[in-house]
Amino acid sequence: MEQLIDPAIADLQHEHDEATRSGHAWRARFLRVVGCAAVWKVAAIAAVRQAIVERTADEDRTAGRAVAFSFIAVLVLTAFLLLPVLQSRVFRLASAGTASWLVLYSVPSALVVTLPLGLVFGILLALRNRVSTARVIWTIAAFMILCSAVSFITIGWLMPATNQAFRELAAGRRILRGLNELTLGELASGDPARVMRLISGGVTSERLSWEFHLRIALALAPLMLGLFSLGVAATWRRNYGAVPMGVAALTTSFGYYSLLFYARRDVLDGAWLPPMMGAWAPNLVFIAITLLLFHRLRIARRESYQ
Amino acid sequence: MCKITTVASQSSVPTLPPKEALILELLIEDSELYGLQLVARSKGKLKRGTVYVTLGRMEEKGFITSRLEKPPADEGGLPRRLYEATAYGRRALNAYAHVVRHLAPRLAR
Repeated sequence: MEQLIDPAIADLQHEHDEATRSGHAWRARFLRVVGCAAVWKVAAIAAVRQAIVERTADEDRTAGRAVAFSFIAVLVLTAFLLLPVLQSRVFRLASAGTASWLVLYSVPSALVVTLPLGLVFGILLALRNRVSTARVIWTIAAFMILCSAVSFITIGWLMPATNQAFRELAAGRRILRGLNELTLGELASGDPARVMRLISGGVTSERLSWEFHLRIALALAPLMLGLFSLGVAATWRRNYGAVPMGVAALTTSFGYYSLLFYARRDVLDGAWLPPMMGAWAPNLVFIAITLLLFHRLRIARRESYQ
Repeated sequence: MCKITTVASQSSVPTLPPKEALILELLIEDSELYGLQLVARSKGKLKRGTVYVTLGRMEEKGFITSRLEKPPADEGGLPRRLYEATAYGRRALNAYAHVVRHLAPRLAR
């Protein structure tokens, strides 16, 4: 790292000093701005290179474990959430072909919930008895961003389409869409009169605003809950058993969805919480706790060095 | 009897992208240069935000070597790093120039 950043800073200092000595004050200021941008660019490239290229085999294994465990957790939780569909009357009465389509159409809705929860379980399980270095944390964070991007596409466009397909297949005829079957683009208009032409039933602007912000907040849930899990794993300093891990994962999941449930009730009952704040409240609470965890960890590390 | 010796795998063969070739050319012309001097002499082909990363990679490959300049006694701050082409780097550039001069026109036909 010093081989890259130190020469950049040294050259910047000399260039700036030369301009100042020769009386070109504005040129010196300009060089400082341009030079600082260049140093930051070098630092960013060096950090990405270090995180991706210069990982050790142990760090690779830990990050790989986190990805694999999260994937397994998502699969198990999705199967668990699909159980009610498999036990439903519609499913039992359907032919084999229709039944498999019904299950397939239910997967995106389940993924919206299981992706963040799977990350919580996967990360906490994977980092047990493992050293979570900065490179491991950055690699897992990149994976979480990818999961959030997948979640965004799913919740914004895929889930509304498959929900509607499920409803029409189960009913055996074409039916009008509900709010859950509107795409993110359609919700973004925020105009109840326009939306009511697309769906069955009425809708208020508060409800529309809630649905729109909820979708985006839920798409970011994998990132928020994943970061929270990283914070918990790092604070516990990897020495934790399976039971505390399970309790932490369940508490996190329960806490997130309870907050969302209470916020929804408050917003839809027309109480004090604005729709946007209500939808984002769980994410904000969890990111605040995560920042606190990492701040405490930083203080503890600094004290251990002294 | 035929003895099989180590054969360099494809990934271990050093590559010489155009930017690295340009840096080698500039370093061979001027012997020793700082990062920002390379940027200035490249006439816009090298950027100050990426030149140090390229130089670091070239040093890892063994194409160039570097040393810290002696800082003047009255000045503070970090000492600048001077870069110089190695004999290996010069050979790599010659090979690259040969490919560009002779093989590329034939392949283009």
